[in-house]
Amino acid sequence: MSTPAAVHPHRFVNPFTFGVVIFGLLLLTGASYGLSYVELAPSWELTFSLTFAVAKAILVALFFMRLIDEAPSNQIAFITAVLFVAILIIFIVADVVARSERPTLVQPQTGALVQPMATPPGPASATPSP
Amino acid sequence: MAEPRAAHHFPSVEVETHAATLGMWVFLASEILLFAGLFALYAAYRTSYPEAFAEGIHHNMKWLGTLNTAILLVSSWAAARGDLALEQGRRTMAKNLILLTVFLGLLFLGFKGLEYGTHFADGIFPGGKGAFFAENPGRGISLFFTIYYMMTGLHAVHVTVGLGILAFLAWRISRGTLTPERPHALTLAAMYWHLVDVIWIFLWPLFYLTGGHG
Repeated sequence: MSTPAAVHPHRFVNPFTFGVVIFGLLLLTGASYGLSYVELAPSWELTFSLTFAVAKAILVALFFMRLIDEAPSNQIAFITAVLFVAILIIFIVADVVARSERPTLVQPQTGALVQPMATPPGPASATPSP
Repeated sequence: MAEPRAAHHFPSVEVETHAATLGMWVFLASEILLFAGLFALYAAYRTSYPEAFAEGIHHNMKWLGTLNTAILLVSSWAAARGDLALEQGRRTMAKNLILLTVFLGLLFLGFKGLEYGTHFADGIFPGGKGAFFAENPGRGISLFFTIYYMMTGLHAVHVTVGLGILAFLAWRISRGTLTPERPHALTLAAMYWHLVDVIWIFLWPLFYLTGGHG
């Protein structure tokens, strides 16, 4: 006769929860698909789609991957990685946007950075009086 | 009734399971960081060439990508349910659910192959090669399909690896060498499979849905 393994008790891991989660996941997938036919500004379309994706990923991680029942050390290992990815992507996008809005020129002879002409010299750039 | 035995360097099955699970979470974190580089590249390219990316997304088969999303989600459910069934001592049910997962994974790969075939027929090859790019010159559209092939291809490699592992574990369940006493090999494989699912959850909107109205 088989004896189930002596693993820590599961509060949320049961067939009913899994059924509810897959129903929710398919519902969110349908909602994302339907939303792709609604006329939205590109930024809002991306925001909504990624919000649905994040919600689905959280459901999978918490219940199917059992993160909700894991020891804190395991939760930290995974959440830290996700956090690092978010930081990486946010700063890369911010950098690309900033460069496209304010191109920085490099003087070929000296290698010094030249501010774009559109930026008017402000009081901060004036030589401070002694 | 035999007590489950841990590997010799672990004092108990509980400690062994905890160590194996922590190791798997760290491995999955490193997998996330692997894909993070590609997601970051996608974000940078898309920010630089928004119109070309919208055009590229319109060229992909939205219905097939959506069908594949549903297939992977259901396969993830089957893997989670199969893992639970083995823990509960229901070996036949566990084996059948893992085989269902493998079948759905193969279906996913089949549909992805079908889509790649359609792209090849249209002259869309990785690296901006093919007749499509001669008719549609421009750096943005070439970058879109290059990153598309790179990310979906790497994901397909992960699906293939996951399928192999799950098929092997289904065979072990049927042979009686993977038992409810020490089921964590299946738990770890299922975790890997769920991560593959999570990555696709993000690839789907980025390559199929967010190309503007229609």
